[in-house]
Amino acid sequence: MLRFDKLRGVAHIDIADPWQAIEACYERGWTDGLPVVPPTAPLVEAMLGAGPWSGDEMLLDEPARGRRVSAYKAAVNAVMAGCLPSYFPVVGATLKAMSEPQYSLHAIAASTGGAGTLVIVNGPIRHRLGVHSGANLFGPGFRANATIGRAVRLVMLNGLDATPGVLDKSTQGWPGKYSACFAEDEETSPWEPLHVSRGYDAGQSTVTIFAAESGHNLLNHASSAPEQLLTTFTDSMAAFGSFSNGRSVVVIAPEHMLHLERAGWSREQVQEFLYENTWRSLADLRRGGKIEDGSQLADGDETARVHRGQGPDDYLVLVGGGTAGGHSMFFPSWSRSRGASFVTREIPT
Amino acid sequence: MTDSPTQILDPTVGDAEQPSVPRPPRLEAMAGARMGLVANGKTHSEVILSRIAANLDARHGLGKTTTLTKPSPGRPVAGAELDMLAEHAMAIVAAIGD
Repeated sequence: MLRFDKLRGVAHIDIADPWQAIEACYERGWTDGLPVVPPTAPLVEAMLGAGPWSGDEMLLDEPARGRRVSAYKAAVNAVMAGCLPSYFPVVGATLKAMSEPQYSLHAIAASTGGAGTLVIVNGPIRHRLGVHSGANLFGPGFRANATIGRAVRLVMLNGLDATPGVLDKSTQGWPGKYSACFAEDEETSPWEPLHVSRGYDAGQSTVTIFAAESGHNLLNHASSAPEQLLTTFTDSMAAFGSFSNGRSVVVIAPEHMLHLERAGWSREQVQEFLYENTWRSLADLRRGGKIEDGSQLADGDETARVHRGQGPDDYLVLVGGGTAGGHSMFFPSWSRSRGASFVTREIPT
Repeated sequence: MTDSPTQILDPTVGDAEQPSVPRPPRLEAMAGARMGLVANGKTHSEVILSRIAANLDARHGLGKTTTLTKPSPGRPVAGAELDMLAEHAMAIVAAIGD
């Protein structure tokens, strides 16, 4: 019942000591450092009931250590993350995607590289759930974005024992390990939606996941020429710090996208340009000490071009962000090599 | 404030909820034991493995050692490689380079 506190002048709801429950979760090491919603049975049942899975169905399967997480435990963690029950199909689809062998879940959970799992949502469910794709899409303010990704991390912490400094050996990690969920702005994009380009129908809803290191700003306010804009991109993407033969996600800001659209550039042209122009010479890589002992590059020609990735398909490009501003974002793969693939999976609706 | 009637559920997954994998018996003796060495494929993992193997050999006198370097650090040893280790090794030491 809503009550009015005359002394403090604020409305409040009387609940029997909720802080005790929150502190109990802290004391048991069940949180990501932020307070969690205490997972009571009615809340968990409501969460589980919003998905198509029975409680004992396994949603997450990590083969290297033989760890599995049931839908029921996933629902407990989704409650703790602050998810609405309607978000649970997205959480479950993400966990299923992470179980695909090509996602290398154990490496992602344990690596010093400190991967965060990007969760990119496509299809009609974006609007139903309010998964944000506009201004500040990587920042705070949007419940679905904040809590779906958080639920995934809590499952890793509580279900896989991915305790920082113990199993999770991230040297530094990054804030996206709390949550990194967003939608593609399909309405602004002149291209087919990302999931359609990956073989799904526009009427289906999907998650596409990617094990990423922190995003890099691609700032260009001055140019409207596609080659110049994308050269700004490739310059950042070829930097030593994140250089590898791994994959990339590039989220193009609407302002940048408008310039590409006016010039008639297709997604495939952008991917081709990014791949062809994101490279360093072998001599450069040697100068930066980026060639490891035993590498097959060790004896190569000094002038040889070493590209980021192995081809245009290693560049996943989509549209997102506010309508104002020349700020796109590049997310490199977390690994020094090709540790994990993009994985797309349908969200059951 | 009253005592909390709230019951909160455990979000963790205990070992009892995981598939049971029987542990192999411990080696009764290291002398003459055939050892498998599994490197995770990252730089320097073979270095620490070879030193461990040399130390064990010096102390105990190992039998033949079989070395396997994983093609990818994130993947478990499986299939023919696992069969090969099962056939040739009585115990295995794994090393993680980085």
